[in-house]
Amino acid sequence: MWLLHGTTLARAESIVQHGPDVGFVEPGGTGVAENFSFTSEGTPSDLGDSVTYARGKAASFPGERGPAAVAVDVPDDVVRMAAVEHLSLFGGLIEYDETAEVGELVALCSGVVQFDPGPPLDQLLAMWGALAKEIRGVP
Amino acid sequence: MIPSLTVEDRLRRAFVPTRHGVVGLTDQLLAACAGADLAFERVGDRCVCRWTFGDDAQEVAVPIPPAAFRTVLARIAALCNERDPNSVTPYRGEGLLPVPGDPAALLRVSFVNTQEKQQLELKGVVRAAVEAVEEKPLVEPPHAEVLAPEPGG
Repeated sequence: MWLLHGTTLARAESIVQHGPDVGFVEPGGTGVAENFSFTSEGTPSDLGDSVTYARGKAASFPGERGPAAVAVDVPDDVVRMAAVEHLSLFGGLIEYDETAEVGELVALCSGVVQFDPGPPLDQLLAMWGALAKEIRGVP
Repeated sequence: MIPSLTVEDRLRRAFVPTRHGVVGLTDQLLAACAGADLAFERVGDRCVCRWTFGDDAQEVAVPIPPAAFRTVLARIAALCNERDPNSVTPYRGEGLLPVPGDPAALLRVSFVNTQEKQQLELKGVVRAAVEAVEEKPLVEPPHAEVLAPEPGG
């Protein structure tokens, strides 16, 4: 499943090279990212799309060479793990079936695939170098 | 919208388990809290709800984990932008949203969703028809300031 992360071009290059960094602190910031989110390509997101995030980020950090999106092809089983892990963080407020289709699980997450610290993120980082990925321009 | 509900009743309704994902949970929260003045905030590793009763400030912990609260805040930002494109950023903003189940009623929302702070304020309700007659903007513009980070940067 192709996933998209909207950001700036400077950060996109770093992410492609090193992988997602949930300890990332933005210039001028004090808090760490805590997690790393993608939208699922071709799936509507109820939380806003990656292009919008990329544009907002580029507007906030004009020295980072404009908006861009990291596109990465993540195996469905890893996406499933991330979705289940994220849904579990709702403490029972969202009911779901772990055996459901991965697309259904992602839809419950509003079309967003969020990697929080834990096994899914560990697995993503372990395979990051071998995943097909690219940086896409954002107009 | 049921104005006679106590805050405790509203919170019970807001945080009933749902099979409709983040969208359903957010709708539940907005519907349950419409008509009350409530503020939700992440404090450390939990979230609390604050309100005033008479002259007394009240606070209770609510059963939504911080990571889930951030996702709900992201949904609220998206709802504001669905109603009025580019009216808020994913990180902060304020506006009026239709009350789920009562589209003629508008709920005033204000939120912050940054790495440093996560907060949601819900205030009262106005009727959409009144708002239109007075020609007030349905969604107010976002604050002009440097945006805070997106998760994962």
